[in-house]
Amino acid sequence: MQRPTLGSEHETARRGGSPETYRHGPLAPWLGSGDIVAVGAAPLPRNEDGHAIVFAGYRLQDVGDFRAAIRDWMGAVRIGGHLVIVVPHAFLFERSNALPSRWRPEQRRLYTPAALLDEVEEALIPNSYRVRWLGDLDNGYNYRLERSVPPVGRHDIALVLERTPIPDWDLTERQVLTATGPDFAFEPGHTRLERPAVSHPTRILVLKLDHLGDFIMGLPALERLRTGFPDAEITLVVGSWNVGMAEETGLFERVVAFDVFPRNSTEEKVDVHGKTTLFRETVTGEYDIAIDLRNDDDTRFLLPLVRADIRAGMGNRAKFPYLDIFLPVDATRHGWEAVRIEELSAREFDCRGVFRRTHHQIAARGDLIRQDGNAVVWGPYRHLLPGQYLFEPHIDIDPRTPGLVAYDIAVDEKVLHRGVFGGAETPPMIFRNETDGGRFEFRLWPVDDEPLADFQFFGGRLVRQGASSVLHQSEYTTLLVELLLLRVTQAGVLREWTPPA
Amino acid sequence: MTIIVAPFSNSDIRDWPAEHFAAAIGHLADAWPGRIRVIGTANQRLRARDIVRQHDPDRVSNECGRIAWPQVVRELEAATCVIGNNSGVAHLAGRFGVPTLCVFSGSHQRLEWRPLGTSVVTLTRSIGCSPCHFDHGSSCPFDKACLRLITPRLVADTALALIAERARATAADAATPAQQELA
Repeated sequence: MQRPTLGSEHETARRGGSPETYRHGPLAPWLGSGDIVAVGAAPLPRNEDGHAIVFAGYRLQDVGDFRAAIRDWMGAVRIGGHLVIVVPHAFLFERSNALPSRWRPEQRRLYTPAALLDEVEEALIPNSYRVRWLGDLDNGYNYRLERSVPPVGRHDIALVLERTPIPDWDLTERQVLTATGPDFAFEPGHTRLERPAVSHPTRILVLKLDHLGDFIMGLPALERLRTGFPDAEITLVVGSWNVGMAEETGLFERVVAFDVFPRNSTEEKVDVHGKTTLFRETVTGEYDIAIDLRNDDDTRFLLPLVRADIRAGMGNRAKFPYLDIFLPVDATRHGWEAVRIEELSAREFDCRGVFRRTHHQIAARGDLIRQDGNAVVWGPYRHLLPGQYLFEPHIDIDPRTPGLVAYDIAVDEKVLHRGVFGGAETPPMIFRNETDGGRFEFRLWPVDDEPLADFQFFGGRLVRQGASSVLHQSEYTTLLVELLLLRVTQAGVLREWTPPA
Repeated sequence: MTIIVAPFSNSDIRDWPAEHFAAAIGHLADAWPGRIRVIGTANQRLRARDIVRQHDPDRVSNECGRIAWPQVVRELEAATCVIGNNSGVAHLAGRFGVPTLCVFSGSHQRLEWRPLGTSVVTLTRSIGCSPCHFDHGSSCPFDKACLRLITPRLVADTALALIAERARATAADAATPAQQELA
């Protein structure tokens, strides 16, 4: 087969066609006649209303900033007018899927219909245009020619865009703005730039001011502090009663006695805050880190009296804003062992219609009830978490009337507890619910062959026993030291950062 | 020399507005000579177009959906700087020690969720409604003021400062012992 020469036909292929080239094909509705402005080397001519048709044939593939080029061309089109873009087809012209272009070395990109549309979507604001036609033009294309010879026939992709008016809405879903910043911004006009900084402390002050047992429980934390900062000079401040034991550990470069508490709090008055001046006189150095290893927060006020870059202790920033590193401890750790206490009013229970109901009680008259095997009060059908519960019904049984009142507790209709009110003392009603969402029911019943006593029922109190979420003292102090090590040597302590000028 | 911009988290309450990203990229492109690549998933490609539209594609590219995750990881590790939201990319860049800016929404506690690493600068506003724990930006009655009030200029300037800082550190590391002594 004879190899074709790169003659004038090839040059035409390189340049693409003029608008007339496409006049009789599928682009005829747009290029068939009328005001057509072709994109050339010179800037597009502009008129006030824009042009009906702008034709960009074989231009886009050579442009670096395709976004600006497409915007510029579309900007020259009037509303309702059309932009016609024609580019060489990578699969028909270059017959390659990678640059450089075989026939046009100046070409910057290869095109498929999808690639062309992708550039248009990236360049133009959504809903500023509509796609009216996109397709491959291959009329007269000779598919039998080898890849190594220039293509014969049309080998283009054409895209027709209509410029449309932009609607008032856009694609971003926004909430209607109901307020702006300053009235709820704590630092109006200020953006925080924060950056963590790690450090290598050489001077550490430790406060462990509580009693003998506390000191012993704190030893694992103190040992961890020593191994974590092997080269630091550690000063320990302890009650005078712990000085000897502290020195014997060999963990500290210096041990200082300071009695913020009496040795025996039952024998002497505790005046922690009265020791401030003495503390200032006793602890006078400068430190990279000052850490208070007492769990209770009554010595935390001493930390700001120390000259230190980093202050660490138990608690939270809301209460102790001067803490750089803090271990939040469970605020409920000194609370009751109950995690949920729910007062259930009489309104949450149902009863026989013959009883008198008021806003806060059910008043029962036994003589109105016939023995029929049914409950006389029932409710409240609460769904419970698994756990141990105590229910305390608020009930007054009239001792002047004959009869008894029975009760039971059921979860998911399975009776877990039952009994009879026999005297002034209400027995503890403890039950265990094993199922998540189990339905709790409390009922009052007549007793077989006995009259029902008169009573007033006011609801009850449902209490769930808590699993204690308290850690051991030694664990709190060790966790605080581990947190200190993590922050200081690895994660860094977060500080506001000002970029260097 | 590449700045990687990751403008999308998996919850748009945490996303700095697209127009802010676009403006910050404009400032960076004016002041810094390298490439800026916007990354994300294929589904985020449409939204990324709003961010890259006004910029020269030779400098600013929309890579959403074009790069497989293993390559993203490699490119993050090699990046000059990474700019992101409170999302996985910022966490990963911080872990790599890459200079990283995290434009952090008030929807969550920054102290709890910020990316770790001494190369990370976290930008936040102190706003009373934070943390709201909303998932959707459209739920915010203040049009995400916690993010909107963080300016593109500040983000760009901070990124440039981090890049300059890293360049100085790299130059100092490369200096001979004699040069270091002179310095």
